[in-house]
Amino acid sequence: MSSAKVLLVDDEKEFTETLSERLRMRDLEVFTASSGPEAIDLSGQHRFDAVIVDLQMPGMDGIETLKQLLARDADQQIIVLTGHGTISRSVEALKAGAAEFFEKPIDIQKLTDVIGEAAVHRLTLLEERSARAIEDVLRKKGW
Amino acid sequence: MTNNASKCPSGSRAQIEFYGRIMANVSHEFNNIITVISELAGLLKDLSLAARKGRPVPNEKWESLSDSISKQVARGKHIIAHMNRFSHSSDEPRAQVDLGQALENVRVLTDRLFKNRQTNLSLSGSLEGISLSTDPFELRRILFACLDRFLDGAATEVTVVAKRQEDGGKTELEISGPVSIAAEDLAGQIDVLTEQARAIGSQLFFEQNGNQIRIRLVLPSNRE
Repeated sequence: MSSAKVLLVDDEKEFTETLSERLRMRDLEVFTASSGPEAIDLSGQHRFDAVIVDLQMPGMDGIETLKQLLARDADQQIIVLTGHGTISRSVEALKAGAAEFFEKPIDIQKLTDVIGEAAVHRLTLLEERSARAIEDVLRKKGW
Repeated sequence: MTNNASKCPSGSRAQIEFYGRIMANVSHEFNNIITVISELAGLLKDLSLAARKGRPVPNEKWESLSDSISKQVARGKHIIAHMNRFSHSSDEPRAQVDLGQALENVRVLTDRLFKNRQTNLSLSGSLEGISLSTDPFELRRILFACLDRFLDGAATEVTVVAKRQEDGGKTELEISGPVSIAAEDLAGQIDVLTEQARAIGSQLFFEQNGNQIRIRLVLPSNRE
């Protein structure tokens, strides 16, 4: 899963800087955002294979951020990575549309595997969506 | 805290809740620190492997990673020192307390709560040399309870002004800022705060002007 494009969203700057450096060493293209609004802004400029979001952030929290990201792109694969890992928070995140939920710290190999799976899943969703769109056109045109 | 709780069963639940909120906040901070250190350790390992495979790593990179780890350790030690001071605040039901240190203790241990709500806490007036004979744990609890009123709302700027009253050497803390909670909910909260203040021999005054509220906490004399 080389050159997948990833967005890391976390207000701990040292964390995003270090993790992004490690992910880049593993051939991933990494962007960082320190807040929900910054992440939403970046998602308008780039198509990310996976977005990794913390739950507790100043201002807009992770749940609201993931809801807004999904409202813009329903196929967006969002991985919640938080230090605030209660069962109720994980249920809340998954109900809101998160693809995965993990507690910090996470093993880098596990994270790269999950990013790879998210990217493949996103691609599958996009292919299914375009196949359905083509079928719709064919049905409407009666070809 | 066990001592205080057993002496005041009706308040024990609220005391445990306060302790719990501090612990939850501090444990979250520690997890953040451990996570950053864990990633830095991982990066050190990644770079070592790269260097072993013949990819040179500049000396400055090792130094910068070492500095980053030291910074996180210092951050953790700062919180541990405050957590230790907070834990010992329940040792005695009455002791001489430095008001400035008690307020700083509460501020450090609840820092993330303010950051998450993008609320800036500013202190003006000097608390230097102000010492009170009071219950150290309960003093911290009421200081946090006053500040917490603003966390329930949508305050962006909370101001704490410290003043020494001319008569009797009493100290007044004036805490003000905007809130966005319903007036009836706020009234109930202020009643609880007033009771809490009375329990440590303090007085609490409250004023509301639109969405702005001002809490004045008049603390007991510094004389024994």
